[in-house]
Amino acid sequence: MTTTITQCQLNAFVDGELPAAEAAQVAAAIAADPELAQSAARLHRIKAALGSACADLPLPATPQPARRGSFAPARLAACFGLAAMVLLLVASVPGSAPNLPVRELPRLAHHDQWLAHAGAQTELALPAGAEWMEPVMSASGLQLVHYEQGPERTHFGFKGPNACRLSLFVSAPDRIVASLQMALSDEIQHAHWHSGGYAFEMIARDMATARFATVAAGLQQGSRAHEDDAGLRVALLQSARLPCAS
Amino acid sequence: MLDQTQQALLMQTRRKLFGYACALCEDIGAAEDLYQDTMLRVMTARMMPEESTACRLWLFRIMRNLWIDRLRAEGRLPDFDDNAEVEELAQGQGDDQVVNALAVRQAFGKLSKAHREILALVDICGFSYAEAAEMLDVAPGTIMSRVSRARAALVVKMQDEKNVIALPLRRSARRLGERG
Repeated sequence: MTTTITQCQLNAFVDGELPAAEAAQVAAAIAADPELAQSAARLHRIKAALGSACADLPLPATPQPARRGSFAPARLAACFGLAAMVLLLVASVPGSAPNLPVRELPRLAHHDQWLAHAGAQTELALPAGAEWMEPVMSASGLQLVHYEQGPERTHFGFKGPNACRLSLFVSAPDRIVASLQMALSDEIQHAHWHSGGYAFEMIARDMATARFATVAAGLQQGSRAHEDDAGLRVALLQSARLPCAS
Repeated sequence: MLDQTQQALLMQTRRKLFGYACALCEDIGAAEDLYQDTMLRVMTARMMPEESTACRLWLFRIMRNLWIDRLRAEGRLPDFDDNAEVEELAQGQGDDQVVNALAVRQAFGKLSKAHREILALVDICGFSYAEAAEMLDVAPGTIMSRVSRARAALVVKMQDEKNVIALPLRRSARRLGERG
């Protein structure tokens, strides 16, 4: 190797970062020195190998830009603010983020039952009338993998990165909840709100509380924005209908 | 609010963003989380730089800041200027290695965070030295020496990796070898 060509220069040459005169000097040295040429070729191959490293990586679900009539980023930003406020409130009220008694969360057993039987689940399309959830869930990296319509409730099961699971139950309200209510502990996260005459209940285990609060606030805003949506009503009515008495 | 140009740029950049996340994080799950959090932050940003280079830098800077916040929360902030002595490669050293993508990627995963980051910015994300310098808030000359040290460290890791079986880069190359 010519003593005047340093490793720094050779690397910069490979990266195309040298001024023209200096690059010409390095190129001449490479042409005259086979070992230097071999070193430059090796750096080129390393650069190419790293450059293609992300080409075959499976890309995680990517948030889609807000579409016509859907959840605008500004609204999502408002949800962040709301989530932050709720988190502050939860954090500021002593005892408001307790270890939640299981008996106070009747849906938790259903959520746990789903977790116990959740194997490798493939992504499902959101059912008609529930598309309003898509921007929030997509932006949060949550994919619908379970959908179950029962006589009393509809259960949406979402899967996120690091195997986190989140349940959203939609049912007829048993009591009126004026606004978004959340109880967040490290172990269990729970949110509850009403919209359009239906009760929404969100449950997760071991999910980052900030992320959970953001998703809850986003969904609550989304459900409010669509409470007059005929599609949503039809979907909820279908899930809430009871079998005919014989 | 993202306009159409910005949305297009975001879509074009997302693979490199995820590559950068993979380079920064210890495992793929953490990288997915970092990527999602970055996208979420971008989608909810009130303003986004209009000029494409500035916008690209802004995107990666968001990811890097989120990554630093996480490390700080976990109390394991790395030394970003990795000045660890890397033996200067002697002339011709390592040239007998078959440089293939698998070996390079395996060795890359064993580098320090600082070395991974600088190579990710320049080789994976395609930033120029000047752009990387702006992003890391250092002089371009610093980037030049960091890249050199990181690649030297990568070659050393490749030499240390005894268990890597060098695979031919292309099947056709292997077939040609068999015929010969």
